[in-house]
Amino acid sequence: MMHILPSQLRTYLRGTLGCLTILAQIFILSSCASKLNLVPENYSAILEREIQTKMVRTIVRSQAARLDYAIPVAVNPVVVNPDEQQIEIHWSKNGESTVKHWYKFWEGEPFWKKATYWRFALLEQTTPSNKETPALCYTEWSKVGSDDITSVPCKFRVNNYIGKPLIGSLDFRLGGDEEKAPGDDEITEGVVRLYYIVLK
Amino acid sequence: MKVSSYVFFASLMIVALLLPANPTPAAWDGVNNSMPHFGSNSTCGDHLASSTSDPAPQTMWLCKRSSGATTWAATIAKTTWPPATVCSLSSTTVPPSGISSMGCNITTPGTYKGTITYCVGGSCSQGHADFSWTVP
Repeated sequence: MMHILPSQLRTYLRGTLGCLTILAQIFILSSCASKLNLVPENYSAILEREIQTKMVRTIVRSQAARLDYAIPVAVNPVVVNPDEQQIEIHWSKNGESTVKHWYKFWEGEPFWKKATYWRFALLEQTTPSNKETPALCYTEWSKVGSDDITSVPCKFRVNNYIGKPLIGSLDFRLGGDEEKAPGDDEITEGVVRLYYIVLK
Repeated sequence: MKVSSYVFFASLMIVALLLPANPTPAAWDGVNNSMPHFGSNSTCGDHLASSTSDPAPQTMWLCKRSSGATTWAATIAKTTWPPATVCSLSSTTVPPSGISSMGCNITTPGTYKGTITYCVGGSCSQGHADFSWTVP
């Protein structure tokens, strides 16, 4: 068909297609950029078993991340030593796309900004008489590793908090100096989820 | 058309997309109003501004906006390490005005984060980390 088109139109079409190709590449790269998210145990394993295509998994992860789901953590009711009790918190590097809407890909974080540092705290949701209550557990800033899932041990008297809502707060920095942890005054990103301890 | 022309036009389109459509901030600008938020005052006229220096004890205002929230609870945590829960509002029914208040006693300088968890009818999985701000 091309041979019957005037040469000017051919040039115009080629130019438009060239621009669209460049934009499509930027769109795909931006959509693949992801940030951290708190996830339940075996979250990635279930996704990988049920959804074969990586790109579809990325989309499902992103949509799921926008649901404000609570995370249950099942614990053994038989406690040998309450002081040695702990739970595991899990977060995923590929938790959520940095792009809010696929058609507004330019509004997300640039795709070249990877998560560099993270820290976590587990807090009580309510505090009696507005008395400042220390976090049940927390970590200092750590470098983001290469694995998708990171498991964080959180040690506290777990059985005292069965059924009580807890707040898990994961802070992270996208980009920045990879050799220097964020400072106290630095504004970082974060995700918050409700946690419930339940008996197995 | 040369490759450089493609790059030029693509760059031009990206720059046009990046230009802000409305650079003047308005009340509740940039806020997802399908969630409840902390308000700046008792009328919920605007979103609570970052960086507040109100002396303790402070009153925090919860604003329903268009969330449809029927019950809610709120927590304010100190996110300057070591972290701590500073004050909270236990689960309570959202009043017809769509505004609730909670007392807080923030005395230590640092960064704080507020979280509102809420139910819409029987669905109670919603939670929202609303803002963080610094007390000088």
